[in-house]
Amino acid sequence: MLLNAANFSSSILFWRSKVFLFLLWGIVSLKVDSFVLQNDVKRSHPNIVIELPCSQKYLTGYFYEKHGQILESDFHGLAQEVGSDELSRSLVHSLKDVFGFSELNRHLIGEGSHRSLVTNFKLNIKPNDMSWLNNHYCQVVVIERLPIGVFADPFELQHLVEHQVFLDVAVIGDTNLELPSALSNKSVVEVHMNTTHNVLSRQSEITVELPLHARYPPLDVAGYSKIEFNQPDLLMRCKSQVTQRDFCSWILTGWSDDTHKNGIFWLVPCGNMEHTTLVSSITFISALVSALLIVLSVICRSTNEDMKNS
Amino acid sequence: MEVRYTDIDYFVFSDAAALVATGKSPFERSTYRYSPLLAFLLIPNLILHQSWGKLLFSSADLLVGLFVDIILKLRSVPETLRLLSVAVWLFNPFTFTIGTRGNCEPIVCAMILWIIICIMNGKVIQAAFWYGLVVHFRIYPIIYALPFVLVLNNQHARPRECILKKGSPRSGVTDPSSRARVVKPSTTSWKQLFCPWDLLRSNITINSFLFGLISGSIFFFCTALFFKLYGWEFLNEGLLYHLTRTDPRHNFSIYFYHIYLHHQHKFSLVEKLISFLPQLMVQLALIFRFAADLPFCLFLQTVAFVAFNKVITAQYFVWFFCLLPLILPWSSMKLKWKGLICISLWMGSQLHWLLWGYILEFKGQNVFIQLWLASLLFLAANTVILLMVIHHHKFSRVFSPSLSAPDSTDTKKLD
Repeated sequence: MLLNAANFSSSILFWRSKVFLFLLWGIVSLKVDSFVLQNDVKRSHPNIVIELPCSQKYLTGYFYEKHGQILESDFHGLAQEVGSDELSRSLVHSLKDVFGFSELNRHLIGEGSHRSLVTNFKLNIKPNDMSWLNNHYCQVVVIERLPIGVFADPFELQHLVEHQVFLDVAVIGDTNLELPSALSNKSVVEVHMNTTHNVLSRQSEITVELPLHARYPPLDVAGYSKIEFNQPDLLMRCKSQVTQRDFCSWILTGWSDDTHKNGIFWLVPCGNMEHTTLVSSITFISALVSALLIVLSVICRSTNEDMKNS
Repeated sequence: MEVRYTDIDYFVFSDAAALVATGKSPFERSTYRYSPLLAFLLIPNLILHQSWGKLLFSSADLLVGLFVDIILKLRSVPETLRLLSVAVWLFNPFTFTIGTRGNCEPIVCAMILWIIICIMNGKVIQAAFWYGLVVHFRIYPIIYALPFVLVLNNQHARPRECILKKGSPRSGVTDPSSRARVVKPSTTSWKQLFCPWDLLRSNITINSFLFGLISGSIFFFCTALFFKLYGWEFLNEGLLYHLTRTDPRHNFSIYFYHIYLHHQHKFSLVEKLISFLPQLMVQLALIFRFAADLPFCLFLQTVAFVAFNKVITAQYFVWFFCLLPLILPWSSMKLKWKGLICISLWMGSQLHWLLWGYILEFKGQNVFIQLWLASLLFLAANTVILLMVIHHHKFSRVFSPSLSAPDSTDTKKLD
């Protein structure tokens, strides 16, 4: 009887602890959710808003036209350059915690010299601020700074736009498809994607698949050249549907670089400079030998025919 | 993986035509490296239908077949043999896809064959006009300048007096009576190689002078016109690019790896000349030996030019495929087995190269050495085939020299 009582009390204890753990887990998970949102949107810098006329379709294009260079990560400098007014300052303030990006994942798919860079990320929207987003038409902008060793084919990307894979795309910088890396310069790709926030979802997953091609790398004894990719910049480009202003806001929400350190790299085969002497000499000797054979055969043939017909 | 049927070049032409239609320069389209004439020709792509260009190129393809037939008729080739030769062009899977894929090579081939027909019919001025135009369109036909000039001299006759030499087709086919009017090949032109003064003296006849003058004028007129319209862009992209092209990316040429290994520093003058020497040797030897048998000479020259070039892409093969039917009736090489061996050798070495190219480009493995060796093998295959074709060919002049010519005593006709 005592044993039964002991069993019963221990089982109650067991269940109680279970319930307690369950509750604890529930509370923690709720907290963690918002904690994660805050953490991912942990700012390395405050919100940056750049206001440009909507006729400026590409931020990188605008920068390139003004400065003749590729836009680096200095959005803050660009914002200061463009200047801000009352409206954009209030916009900056109101955008606090409206949305953020999280769970950035990148990887390369494919083999060889033609691969695709896949960027996966989530767009999080705070539920209280859905009204703000409903008054604005927004696009997600991904700015991908390409290392010298790879290039994006503007015509191929235009084809993707026609097939509505992307909303819009621009390649700024060195778009030469033919020159090797040693004779090339950097380029940047700006991709505009549609958001699905209208469906009142707190979180939407966005995937950008960018087809890239490797250039002929500089020579290396190792036989392979390593191309490393940096993190992209994620922005939102929003246009107010309420006001009459023809201005679009480019919003950078302070993306923490420490969340994911995806070291993506691409190994491209390259020539070995130690082969140079051997390759060059054998190439020229082969060409010369083949040429001599043909010339000799031409001479022999004419001599033979002379003898035959005389 | 989506592999497009249409060649990327076709989109380049269409975009350039769109630019030209709006009054801009076609060279604003990157990688457009052709004559602006091509962009003008393709303007109906925008007005009529996107495939106008492909229809044009395919019609040129059929025209080439017709011209082959005309040339062989002029040389009195029996009908069966003639039709077989035409079929070699029309049913060659490599060439009939070229036009439908949107490549402009059939137009160049049609022009070259028309020039041969004009020369055979004695229409020197017309031949010169088309020659100037085709060199403007595509630089490579410049290698035919010397054989054309030599042929126009060897006849030593005015256009009306042209005597066409009856060909001596392969024995054992249809007409035995037309067989073997064996003419001793003119060794005069060969000996002239060692007597430059004689060469110069005999080369300046009215026909060759007219030919050189008119074709040169047409070429310079076109160049000047487009330079006026489009400036240095035209000269750099449309002309100089082809003359100085050194592409380090992998292609069939044996020089590709050498160029890639040196791309980070400039080439010395010596290196440039050394790579030009084998090409020059072969071209001169072929011209001075075979110029009198014009189609044969042009065929050999084209094969050699492509094989020894710094860059070889698959579309260059069409340049000699259009001349192949013109020499087949005079070849004693039978399809079994020497013919088949030649075909297998050429295609086999090409496929071998393509295999290594695939591994390099689509599997990302470092196989540069293997690919380079495959390109050496391809050159070897081309050389062997050239030697075999030369060995099995019955040399027959296109024109017999008229009686007033100094070298007519060398000619013997055996009936």
